[in-house]
Amino acid sequence: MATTNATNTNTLTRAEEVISCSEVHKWYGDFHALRGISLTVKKGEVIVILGPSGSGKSTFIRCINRLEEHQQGEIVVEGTTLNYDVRNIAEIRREVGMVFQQFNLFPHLTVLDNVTLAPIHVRKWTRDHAEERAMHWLTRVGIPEQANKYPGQLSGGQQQRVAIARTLTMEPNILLFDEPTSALDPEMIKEVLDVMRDLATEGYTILAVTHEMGFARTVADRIIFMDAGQIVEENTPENFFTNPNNERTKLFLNQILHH
Amino acid sequence: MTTWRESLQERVGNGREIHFDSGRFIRENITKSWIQTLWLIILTYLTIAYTISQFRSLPFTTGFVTLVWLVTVGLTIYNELTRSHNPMTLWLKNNLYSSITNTLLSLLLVLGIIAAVWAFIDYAFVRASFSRIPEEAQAILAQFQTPGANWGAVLDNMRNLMVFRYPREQTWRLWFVLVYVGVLLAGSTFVYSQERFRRHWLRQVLTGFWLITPLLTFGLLVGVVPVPGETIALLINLLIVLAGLVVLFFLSRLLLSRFPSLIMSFVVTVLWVAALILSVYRLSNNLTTILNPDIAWGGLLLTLIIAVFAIVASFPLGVLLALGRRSQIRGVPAWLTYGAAAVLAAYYIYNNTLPAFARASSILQQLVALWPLLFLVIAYLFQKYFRGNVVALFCTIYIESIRGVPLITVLFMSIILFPILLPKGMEILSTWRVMVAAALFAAAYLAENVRGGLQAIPKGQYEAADAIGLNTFQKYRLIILPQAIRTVIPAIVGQFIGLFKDTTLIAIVGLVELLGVANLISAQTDWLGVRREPYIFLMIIYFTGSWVMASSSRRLEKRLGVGER
Repeated sequence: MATTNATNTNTLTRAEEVISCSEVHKWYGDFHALRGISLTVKKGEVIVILGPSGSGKSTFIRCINRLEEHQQGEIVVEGTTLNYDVRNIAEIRREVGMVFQQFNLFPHLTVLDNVTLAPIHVRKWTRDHAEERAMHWLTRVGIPEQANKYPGQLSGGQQQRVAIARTLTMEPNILLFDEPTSALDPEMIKEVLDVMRDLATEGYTILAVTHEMGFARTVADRIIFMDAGQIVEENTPENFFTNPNNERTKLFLNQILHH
Repeated sequence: MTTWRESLQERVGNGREIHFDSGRFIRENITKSWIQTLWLIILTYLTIAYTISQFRSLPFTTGFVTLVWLVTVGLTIYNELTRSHNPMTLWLKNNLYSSITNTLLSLLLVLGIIAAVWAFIDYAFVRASFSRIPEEAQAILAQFQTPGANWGAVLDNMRNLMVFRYPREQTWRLWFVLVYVGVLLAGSTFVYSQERFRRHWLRQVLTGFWLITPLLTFGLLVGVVPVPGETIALLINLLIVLAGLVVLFFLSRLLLSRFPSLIMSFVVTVLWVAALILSVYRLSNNLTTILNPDIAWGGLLLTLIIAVFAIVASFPLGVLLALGRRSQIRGVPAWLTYGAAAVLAAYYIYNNTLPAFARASSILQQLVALWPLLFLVIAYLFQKYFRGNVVALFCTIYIESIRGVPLITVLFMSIILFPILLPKGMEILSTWRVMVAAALFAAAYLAENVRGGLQAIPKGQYEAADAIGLNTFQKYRLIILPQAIRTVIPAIVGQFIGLFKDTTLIAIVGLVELLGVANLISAQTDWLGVRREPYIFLMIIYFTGSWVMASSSRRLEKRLGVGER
């Protein structure tokens, strides 16, 4: 298993590591979902996690903001250890934003209320400040005119972009994407990927689980391939797609690159 | 040579073609099976017989309706044959005259409805007496062969029906409360329903008024005044209470910001409830009431007070019970449960079972003496089905046991058992007992409705709320409960309407509310034996109340966009 320390970490200080997981294990009852995941993510890195379904990609991502609890191992996010302490969890969730496959917008609130809810109640901003920032991000993702509509009145791509704006208005440092485009049709996928591309170039630390190979190839700094709860391969995009190390990776690439 | 059929078609059809296969029509609609033929014969006979009998009693109306029916049926048939409907005949064909049975039934039902309505109008207005003097009413009613309604019983007793024994010189209190609530209601309907007032100060002022309305109306209705000579003590106590509440306010803010967690919210809530109860207790020592609720409150006043209290109090309680039943908090660890059970079992075995065994004279008595082993069984069940979650256990036991007994049982228990459970010398009035019993009863049913709504919220909503950093209290208040309660508004409002009408059971436990007064009216010497009219009046009142609640709930759902968003 290639570890990140093999690359030139000598010049990087420990403070630049925003996420570090060591030997993370998770069981669902008797099923061993994560078998010893160790990963370090540096500030500003864009990491794409690939893998077959059931490999534990989403589980791993959801462990980082405590939507799932890991039973063994350590996860440290921006210096805060993830454990049962509610204050730690709250702190981490403030700095880590997540975008879901099913959007998970709040249907009883307008788009603007959806986006300003967290800043007002979690970061304790004033309503005016929160709305101003919300409109800024809604404009950045390209849908400022939808601010007073309800999520049910928007298309899938627009809803996902609202979800991204909702995450970004909280000004997180780390963004987690759990298959953000899997529920969208091809035209809308491009809208969302464009937004994600912009975010990647702006220096956000991104962990994305996705099946969009084009995105992975062009935007990722590192690609992680998981199978059966373990990290099978870690590599740069060029090496990953052209010259994979592992047999399992080669099998996977054969299957998916011949559509 | 044109056949007579073709020439008929030409003449009647005015040039439009008539498509009618009479043989097929008869085969399919009349003689398809002997049951159909039999049924149509019976129905036709019934319709004709009923029409003729109605014609005898209401000639003009029946004649008019039958004529209209014949004409419209003819028109519809003609349009159907020439395949050129206008909107009216199309609607008629699809809705009222879609088959022979339906055509006949339409006539039958319209005549039936007219007969019923006319019978009621006849009874309630034409042959009725509106006089409030018994002798005059008798005279008026004696004119008719079948006397109508004696509304005098209701009109003469209107004050009794409304407020029963409320002292006459204190009636101004009732008008004051009525006007106050009316103005507040009108203002709220205007302010709450408009988007532009969503964060307006006016709305917050109105909400404040609504929050103090329970205490205010109670104080007004029973005439809360300072005990003579203790006004200064009252003012001092008031200042102390206010100061204490202010201190508690800042203390709770401090605690919640330093230790934000569910346990702390719970502790703070308990502190506030305790503080409010203590304040009321402290102030009540210096206050006294002019009127005794048990005696002064009766009739519709009592119905409304009990219904409103039960509805308003059961709602938060029901929501809390639903949340508690679904809670996933970490429970009592197994070792503690089994340990405590083992200790209790050992103690009681030593103290009760062994001596009982010595005295036992049969197998049955020996088995019964082994009852302390039940502690272990309970501990096992507790661990297995609730994972040691005490909150869920309590909520489940409460909900299931209250849902297992009828309301009347709960009311009786509250009237009879309550005094036994209270410390010596402490008295609680029947009115309070009944109100609390009704509220606790409704809360159990409401909890299940809300739990259904909570189950309907997709898991992704909980996850999204967690992911953006909301704590548990914010998550439920802002995301989960708004959606859950919107979903179950029909069930909840149905529950409230049922509760409003269930207040009639209170007549059985001795309090005289609307039904109680209605029963008493027929026992008066003036109106002896007049039973129907008060009940009809009750029916009108309950129907109006239920209708108002149902239509408000429809408007509320529309405004909240339930089912659309």
